[in-house]
Amino acid sequence: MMSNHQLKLQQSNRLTTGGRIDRGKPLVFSFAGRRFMGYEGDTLASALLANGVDIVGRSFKYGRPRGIMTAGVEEPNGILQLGSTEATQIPNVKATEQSLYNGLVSNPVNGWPSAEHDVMGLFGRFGGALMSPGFYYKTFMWPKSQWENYEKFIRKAAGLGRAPTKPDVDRYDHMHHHADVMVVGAGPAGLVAALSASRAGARVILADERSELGGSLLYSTERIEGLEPMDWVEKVVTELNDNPRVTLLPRSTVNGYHDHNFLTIVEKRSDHLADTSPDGTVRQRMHKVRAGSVVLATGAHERPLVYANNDLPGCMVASSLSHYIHRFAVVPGNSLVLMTNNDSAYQSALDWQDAGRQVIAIVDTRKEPEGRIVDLAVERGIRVLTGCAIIEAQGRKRVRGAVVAPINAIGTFVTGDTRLLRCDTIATSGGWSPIVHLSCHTGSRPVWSEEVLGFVPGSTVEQRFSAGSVSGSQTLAQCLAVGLATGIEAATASGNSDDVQMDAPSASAGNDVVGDTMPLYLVPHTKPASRAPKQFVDMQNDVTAAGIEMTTREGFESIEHVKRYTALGFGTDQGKTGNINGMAIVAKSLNKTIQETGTTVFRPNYNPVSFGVVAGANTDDLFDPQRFTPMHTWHLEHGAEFENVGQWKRPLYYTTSGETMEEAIAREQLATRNGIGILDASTLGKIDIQGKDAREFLGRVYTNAWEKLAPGRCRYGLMCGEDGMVMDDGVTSCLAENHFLMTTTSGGAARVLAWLEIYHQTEWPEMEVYFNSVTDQWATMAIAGPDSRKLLANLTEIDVSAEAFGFMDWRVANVAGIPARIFRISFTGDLSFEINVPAQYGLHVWNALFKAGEAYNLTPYGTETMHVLRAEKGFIIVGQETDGSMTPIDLNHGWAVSNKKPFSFIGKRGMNRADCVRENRKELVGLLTTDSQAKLIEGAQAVRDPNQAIPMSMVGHVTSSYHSAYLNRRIAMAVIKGGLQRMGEKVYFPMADGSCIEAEICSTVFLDADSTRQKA
Amino acid sequence: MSNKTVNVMNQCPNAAAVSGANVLQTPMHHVEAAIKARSATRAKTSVTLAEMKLTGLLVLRANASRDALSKALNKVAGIALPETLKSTESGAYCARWMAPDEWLVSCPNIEAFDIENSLRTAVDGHLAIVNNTGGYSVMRLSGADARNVLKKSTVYDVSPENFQAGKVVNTTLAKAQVVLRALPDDAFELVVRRSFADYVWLWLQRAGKEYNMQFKMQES
Repeated sequence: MMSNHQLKLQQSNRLTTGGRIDRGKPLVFSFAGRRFMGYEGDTLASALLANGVDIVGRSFKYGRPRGIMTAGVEEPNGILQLGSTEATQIPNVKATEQSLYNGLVSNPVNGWPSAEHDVMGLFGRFGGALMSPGFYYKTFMWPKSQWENYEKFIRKAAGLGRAPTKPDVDRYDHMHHHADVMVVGAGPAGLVAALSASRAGARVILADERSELGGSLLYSTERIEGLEPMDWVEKVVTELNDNPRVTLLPRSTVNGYHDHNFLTIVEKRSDHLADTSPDGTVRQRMHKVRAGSVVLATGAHERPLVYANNDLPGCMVASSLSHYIHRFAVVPGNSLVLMTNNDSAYQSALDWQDAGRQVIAIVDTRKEPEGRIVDLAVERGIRVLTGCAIIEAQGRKRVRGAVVAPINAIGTFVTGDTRLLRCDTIATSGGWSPIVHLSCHTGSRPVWSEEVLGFVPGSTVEQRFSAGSVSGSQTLAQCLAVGLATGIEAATASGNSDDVQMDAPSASAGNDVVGDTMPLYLVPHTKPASRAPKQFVDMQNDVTAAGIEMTTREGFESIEHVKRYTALGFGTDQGKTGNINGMAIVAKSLNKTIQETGTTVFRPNYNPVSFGVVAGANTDDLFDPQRFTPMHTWHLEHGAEFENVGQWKRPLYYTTSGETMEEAIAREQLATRNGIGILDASTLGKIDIQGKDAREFLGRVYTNAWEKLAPGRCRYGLMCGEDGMVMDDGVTSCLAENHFLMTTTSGGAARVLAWLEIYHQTEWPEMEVYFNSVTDQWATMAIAGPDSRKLLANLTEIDVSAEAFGFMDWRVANVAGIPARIFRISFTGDLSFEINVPAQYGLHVWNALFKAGEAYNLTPYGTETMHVLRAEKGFIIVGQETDGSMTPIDLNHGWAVSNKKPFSFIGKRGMNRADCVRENRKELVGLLTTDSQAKLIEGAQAVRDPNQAIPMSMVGHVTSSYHSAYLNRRIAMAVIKGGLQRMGEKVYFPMADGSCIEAEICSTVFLDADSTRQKA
Repeated sequence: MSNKTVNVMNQCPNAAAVSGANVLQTPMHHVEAAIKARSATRAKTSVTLAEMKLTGLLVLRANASRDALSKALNKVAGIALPETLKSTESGAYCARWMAPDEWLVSCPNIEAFDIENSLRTAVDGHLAIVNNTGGYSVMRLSGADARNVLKKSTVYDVSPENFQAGKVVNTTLAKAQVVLRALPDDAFELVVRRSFADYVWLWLQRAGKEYNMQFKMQES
């Protein structure tokens, strides 16, 4: 293994001075199994380039070798797999965005078997013509039967990266912010906008995707206010930092710009530190910002020009050279040929020369470039070839030369002989594309600007501003001036107009005379695009100029169709370098302008985000609230298995050692029927109703009558929707003349309370009644079984005899010394009391019941036993016996519908519609299987004739089916067409396995038909 | 009860009937042991989460009778009904605005019954009072990073300029409902439904981890 000293020497492209890296902090990392060294401040890309790593991956479709092309978020090639362990695998990390840390492990995502030697590479080199756009559609989808075989091959050979197979060890969260002004991008325009907005008194948030604020100033040489650019940045950042009303978010990508100036921002908090986030911290945080004004200062991406073999490692975007040289002290090559259609790229050649490397030539596609910087390059002895273009790159795994030829003035064909310039690096600039992505997220269409030769943000309904090169500013001085004004404008628009004493910072006039950019996208070749070596437009998806031209020939004219057919812009880079070039090629093929061709629509997210940060802290136990009753700790200590009822955790059954679920449930049933059981019923919805119109209100929302229910009495009620279908049920007690306690199903509590409020607030606001939820206020424990009266008598002072405390009565009393309301109601069909005590005493009373209940073998039972016991007595469960299509009559609950009420009730008209009163509706009945142990499955469909040919006539289905331990047989409920008229008839249930279960239609009441048990 | 139009119940047990027994559990009683075990490690913290001891909580509802109710409340507790999004506080008594016709009043647990009766006696018109003492957990979040913990938990703007001491909002905390009140000195009061208390506690615990959150059971 190489020593650190040897590793250091490997950095052949590292300059000995300069850069915003810390040479005192060397970091060792690996790529494709090889160890390298970089420095703190490096990105993974700059460190790879420093070490002369040319090939970082293989292309998606053709398997061609690819190298790093840019220095930022727009990078199409440097897409790597990160992670030193299985659990920390991260696919598709852009090397240009990833800060280097010690121990970083990276690998190519799609070189198979390796990036250096790729079997697909041969296919790409020699068989390229086979892989045209739509290749997968045209070839592999047919014959269909073979798709699975093709798929294996394609999936393995193509695709980017792989997901980890182990759970993520890191944590994520979200944070909400409110700001007057949200500034996106901390380049010169964004910094000044944030500064002026904050001085105007605004609450400001400034976010930038890079590890350091500064944007293009990170690699600029232009002085501002007489300061080195990054010294000026430091000065501004210091002022912003000192202002408590300013929040700075570096390493934070604004990924979504949603309606009403709501923005989603992903901050990478520890991705630059290590493989996993330090203990107690989160790896990534999603900031959710609600802003008064939004200032987009997102800048521009430099477009590469499209020429043959432009994907060879060593072909780069011009500005990235300056970026690597100034920010990282890395010169990614030795001899450069630079092609440009504009002035800005000249600076990169000058920087290259200043770094001590050779500039072979600047190839300017313009016949007569006029900018000041052109003269400067000539003065410095650089050969400038005008009216020429690099039409082709040569080399196998790295650029070896550039084929240069003169071209005509509008860049459509080659006008003379070609010559080869030996070099190892080709940099190109086709102009700058404003980063309009976010401006499009809210539905605004970008507008083509002939001046900028790019799309700029279009009009919007949002309070949105833009500043800097995204809005078309061409010089640093312009960015600073527009930034200042925009910051003030945005602050004023959000209600902050303190006087701002501030002049636009001055920029040194290095190249203030700027020549026009030549509109050139695809560089002509001596051969037509279809015959020339591949001219790549979208590197990540291997979309070529020839492919796009062919697509338009095949009839695809809409840019959206071209995008989907060719996959232009579909990669993880979203075509940030290739889109405009692709559109220009489409426009040219169709003989249209770029404006007419239009652009595809950008949607969130701007940059890929991890699922983890989308989920935030809403994982595991916090995925959804888990609601607990006051007795939950007791359940945990006594072997409860839980089930979810809405968000509640309810004991399903309690199991002791070795007992199966079936055994436990049978034991609970028998203990209750033969002695006494207890159920935690605290989850029941409880609504306290007060007011002189409470009784009348109940009459309107329930189907049955409430006029005569006396204080001290309870009544079962059915609640219907307007359609007459049952939506909830429960017992409501008259606590006093103007005071009722309504109970609802556990899952229906919130819905019912909202239902009552809606009717009160919108239909009957004149009624004097208030509803308040008391669900959490009362701990409810139901004791049921023949011994329940004896147990209760032990713990209360009141007379609980049948004479003194009748069925459907309620009483105030102390239970175990705690004030309680006791309701003599039953959901088991047995003698039963529901004890309600204030929740804070629930556990105490529960424990007291068990202490006194020892003598009676008091047995806790869960919801499963509750279900069986209630079914034995034919009690329905809303949502189990009902499905939103059952009227009270269908449920054989006509006794709970009063048509004599003076005012109508909700659902009365609905349940009397013709279809609801016709014959042969599905009606709730009981079922007894002929074989007493035959298990009907809930949902099983009933037929009358088991021998009918398929498709059989279905006449209903099973709603509940249990094994009743007390009756020692299966019981079931079902809804059967006309069932109530068919008592004693047989129905049949053909099962999936070919068997058929026979059952007899009977009453739903399987036990204690005359109610002597529950009235005991 | 028969001659009264509402059933007002004293929910406090007779002290003699339960003497000596540990009968009362706040919603977060189950974490008390863990907190005691942790408190030995005195690490530096910038945020503390506490569950307050049981407080009497009365929900007041009134519309036409609100002036009479406010007067009556002032008489028994020394506080008036607060204006929209505000709270009024005096000693152990606090009233929080909940809705145009709803307030949440806290008082010493033992006094809830008497206060309810006094208010009912003093007000003739339509009103509702519900003793919801056991239905909520009252928590307090305090410290320099309390606001950051809240920013991770609620969409409401909790910045000092928008959420000044005394202000009350009904909002969401993660996926639970919360009555959130700003207190002086970077402290906040959270009133959450009892059944959601454990979820809220866990959520805040996770949000506060990076600030080394400490936990307490607090007397007042």
